[in-house]
Amino acid sequence: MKTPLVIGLLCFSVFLAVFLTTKTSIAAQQKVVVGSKIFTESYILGEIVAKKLELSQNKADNSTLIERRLGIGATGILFEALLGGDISMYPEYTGTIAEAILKRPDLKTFDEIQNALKPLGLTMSQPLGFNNTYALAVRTEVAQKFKLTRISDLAPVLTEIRIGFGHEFTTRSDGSPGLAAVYKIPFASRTRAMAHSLAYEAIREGSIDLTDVYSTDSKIESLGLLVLEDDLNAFPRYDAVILVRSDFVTLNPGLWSAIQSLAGTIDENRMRELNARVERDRQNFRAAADGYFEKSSANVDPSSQRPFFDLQKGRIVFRTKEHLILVGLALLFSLVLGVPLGILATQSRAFGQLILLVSGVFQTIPSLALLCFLIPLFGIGIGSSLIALCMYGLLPVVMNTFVGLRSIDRNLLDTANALGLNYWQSLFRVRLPLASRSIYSGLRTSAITGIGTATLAALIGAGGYGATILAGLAINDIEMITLGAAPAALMALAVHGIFELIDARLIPKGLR
Amino acid sequence: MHSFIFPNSKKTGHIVRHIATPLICVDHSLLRMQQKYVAGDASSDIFEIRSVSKSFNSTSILNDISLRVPMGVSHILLGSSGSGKSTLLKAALGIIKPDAGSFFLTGQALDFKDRAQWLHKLGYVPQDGGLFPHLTARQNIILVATTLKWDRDRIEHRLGEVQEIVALEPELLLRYPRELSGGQKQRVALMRAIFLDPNVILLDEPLGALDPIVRSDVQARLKEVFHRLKKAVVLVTHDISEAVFLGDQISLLKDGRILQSGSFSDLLKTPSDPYVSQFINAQRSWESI
Repeated sequence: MKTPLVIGLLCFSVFLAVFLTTKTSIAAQQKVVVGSKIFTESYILGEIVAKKLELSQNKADNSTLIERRLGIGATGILFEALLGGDISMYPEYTGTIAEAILKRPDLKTFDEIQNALKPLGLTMSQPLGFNNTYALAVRTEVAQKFKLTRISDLAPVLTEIRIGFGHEFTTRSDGSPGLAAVYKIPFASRTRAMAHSLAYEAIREGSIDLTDVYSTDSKIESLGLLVLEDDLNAFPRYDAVILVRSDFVTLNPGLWSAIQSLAGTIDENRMRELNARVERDRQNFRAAADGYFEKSSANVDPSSQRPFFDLQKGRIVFRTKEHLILVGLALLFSLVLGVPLGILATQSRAFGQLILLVSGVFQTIPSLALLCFLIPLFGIGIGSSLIALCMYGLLPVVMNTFVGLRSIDRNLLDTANALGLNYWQSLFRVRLPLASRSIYSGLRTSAITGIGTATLAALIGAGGYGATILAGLAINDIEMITLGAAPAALMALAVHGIFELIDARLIPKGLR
Repeated sequence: MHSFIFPNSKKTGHIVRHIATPLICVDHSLLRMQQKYVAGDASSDIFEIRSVSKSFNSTSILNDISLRVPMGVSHILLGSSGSGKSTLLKAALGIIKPDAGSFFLTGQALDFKDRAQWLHKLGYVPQDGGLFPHLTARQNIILVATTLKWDRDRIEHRLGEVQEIVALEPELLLRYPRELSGGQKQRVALMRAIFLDPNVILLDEPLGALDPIVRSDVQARLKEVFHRLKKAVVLVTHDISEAVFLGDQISLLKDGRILQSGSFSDLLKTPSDPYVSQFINAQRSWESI
């Protein structure tokens, strides 16, 4: 009975080894990867940086590859990707670096922050020229009704207004916790936390009155919001900079000076206008970024005015392919790993409990947190996403294999035993076929939940329908979100149907 | 407590009188003597159980059981449920390892580390047939032969033989167990048991789930097959009429012990223990024999 245990463990370690070696570092390759966070401004700045690098490279006739990995995720994910060498640089804000990354709210000046970054192997460019600080914005009607102009004015009317803050804002020390401390207003008790881009949707349709905004948001104007004055100076400065790996600076002095030349060239008005090109005019990020390089911002090239929505629409087939590959590979690994683990779990009680416990714990880890844990190990992109998807897909397969094998009639097992079948003959000719129905339904569960979970893979740049959904969230476009969500739902239905069809072929006839 | 009303003579309502008969005390040595006598005709072609004991959680399930079954003899293990008769079969098949004692076939002992060789000499028919539901009758029958890599011709040839022995309609071979009747399942299970031409056939209450008419039909068929194949047969049942009909020898088990072994008339006429009479009389009146 020891052989299957050894073989199972062997399979597991091979699987692990294969994945551990898939992590590739860009340090080894001659390319520069530009990342960005998942909101309009970060996308545009990422495009500007990438284009600037490309332009300067043409002059220098250097053949370093410039790769764009925009919209990878939130601060934590970008920072991990930068430290791990998956990306070379991304646009960041001085306030965020001090508060969220270095956890040093005491660092105020540019030089202080720059010095603190050095030990991490990072450096930042000179400020780009605008301060995109947090601000609180209210609906104009509400502002008029309660005569609100400053943040201090909120204190007496706190119970009268509905607040929706972005997740990041509710947790960062420079967000609502810091604000509450300075103004002595208990925001937390009245706040609903939501995705930042959805907060705009909520305030537009009037289901909330107050939200956090970035001072360069184009939506402040388009939604008719009033920005409340930070009369006690609670918010730190958020000067936009490009956060870069130090080894990039030493390896590519020419490219670095190109980035430094961006310093002081974008003021708040310019940035708000570039943001509006995407959110108001529905240009794609690259076209909006082109606005930076044009002499006059009013003169927009008509060919670049292809709406961002159409761009995403044209990518549906591509996204479907990405999504299917993600789900398919994850399912394959879940099968290859899950069935042996399920078999092992039936071997001994203690081992079985351990396997079921571990695969159960995987399920409880929130997906975003799991992705963050995996980035330092497997990098951003498909590697980490597959591991995460496998971890989620494993439990149904392991569990159903275990239960399927356990619920086989004792007398049939004795009979197989009495006929002189050895362990493997009994396993492959009797036990697995008898458990096939249960294993199969575990696979189906794994596939269908996998389709949903795979949308999160886009958070770390692995593509799929999630990329369309996140792009929609980033520019607050419900139609675009649907463009990603609806095919995912259709795919789940289709997969369900396909499993039904295969069911008739795969399950032994005598069991149907 | 067993019923005291004779099932077959309900109209007369006879009451068993054995309660009134004086108890006969039998000691162990006497029982052993009797067993020796049963296995008396010493031939090397013999299935033998030697002093097998087994306990679960300090409860004795099998207590020093010895038995010799020569080829061509059908030996019935008779007893009520819990008497240890099925456990004895499982031990003979190596599914349960006994605490003491062992099993021999033509002088060779069962080796628990390498049971395959042993098991191929033993045909087994479980309670309700034990057919695998995911395999057709045919696949069930030839399963072990395919794992032994028999070639196609050999399998087909042997299939024809066992089919003729058991007289199963050929079209039933392609059916799945759930498409077969109880009697048909039993015949398929028997075909599977004898496919490798074993020396011994073990049957664990093979007819328990069948209705009376099918049951007597299958009993007749079994008797014929036993007679024809001349194997050592060990059949477990709690039904005395079945034991009498199919068995050359009968061992009555109680609490993991063989109370008496012998022909039916031995058990009837010279019971070694009051329980022997009690068990026999509980099911039927044999006074007419």
